[in-house]
Amino acid sequence: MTQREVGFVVLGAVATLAVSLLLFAAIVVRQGSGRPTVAVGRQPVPTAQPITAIERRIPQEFRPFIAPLLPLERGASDLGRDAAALLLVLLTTGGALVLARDQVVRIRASSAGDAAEQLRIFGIGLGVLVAVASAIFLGVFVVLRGVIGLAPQNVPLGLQIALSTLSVAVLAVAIAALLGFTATAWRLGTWLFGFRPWRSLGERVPAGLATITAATLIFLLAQVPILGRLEAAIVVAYSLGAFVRARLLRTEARVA
Amino acid sequence: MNDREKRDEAAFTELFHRLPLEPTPLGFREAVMKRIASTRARSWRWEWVAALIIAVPNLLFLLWTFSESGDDIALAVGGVTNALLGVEEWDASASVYVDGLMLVAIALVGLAALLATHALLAAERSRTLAA
Repeated sequence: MTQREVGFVVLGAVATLAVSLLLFAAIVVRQGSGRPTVAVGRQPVPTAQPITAIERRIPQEFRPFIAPLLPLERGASDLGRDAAALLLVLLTTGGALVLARDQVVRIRASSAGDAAEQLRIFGIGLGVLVAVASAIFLGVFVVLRGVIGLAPQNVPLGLQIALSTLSVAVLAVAIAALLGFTATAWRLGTWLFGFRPWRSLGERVPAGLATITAATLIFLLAQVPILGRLEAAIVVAYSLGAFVRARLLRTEARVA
Repeated sequence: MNDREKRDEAAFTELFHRLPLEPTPLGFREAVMKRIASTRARSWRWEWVAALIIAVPNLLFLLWTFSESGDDIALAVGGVTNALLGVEEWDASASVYVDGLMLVAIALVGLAALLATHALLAAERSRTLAA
């Protein structure tokens, strides 16, 4: 292992130690509390208990160590619930980076260029997005008209098949957008880490970390009211455009 | 690739073409690739260590959670299945609650699995390179 890699391992160990302390506190606090961990549907959602009441349940020998961690444990639990979508984005982006690295690298390489080139990629993506949305809308209309014409007992089955087909189509577009998004986040991450004040540090940041950082920034910006929606739409369009452009460039190269 | 990058690549290609060809001694390439392969095989990849450190406490927590709250989880899965089958009707009072630390632990286990997969793929790539 190089010095940088040892640094990553030590950083990971310190972070894991902190998380482990919170997990241990959670185990001690919840042992035999009867509080549900999961509640879905009509099950009542557990209400938050006062910290003083929780402290009384902690065994005497653990109380001095665990009691100060209780607010942190509660905060981490609330934050984890709020950040579930972000964790999903990070996990899927990381998954694309590991499992579809070649495709992501190809998309990233083919989306290189100046501002005009980036605008062209965005235009391609916008065109594809509008075309896909139109096709899905028309497809749903045509399929629904066909389903209505079926015998009444076959209508539920027809609707289920239509819904499954729609899900497959949306999934295909989502995978394409995910690959494009990962390449976009990679490009944005390396661009951000390349700024002068922290360039010397940024050059040592691995591509994966830069990608994850940029994906987090994109996600957090998407949470801003109104502007966030616009940013998310632009990123999705650009990601699709980058994917489509990489596919087209590859086809052209094969023909040549 | 824009025009500038194309020009740079063409200039590099031309420069390399001008270099005189010097054949390496017989067996040189094999020796170098074997050395690279053995070095990579011996060294511990950091992803393995990081994955292990991240996975163990979170897996333990998840195991404890499943053993402690297994009934709640089964009840929740049953509720979703009943709603899907139309046995149970959900209205505006229906809710979804999952413990936040459990979500974090699941995400971290996923991250550890990705790191381990990355290490395995990287080892595979280096073996292919050496072959």
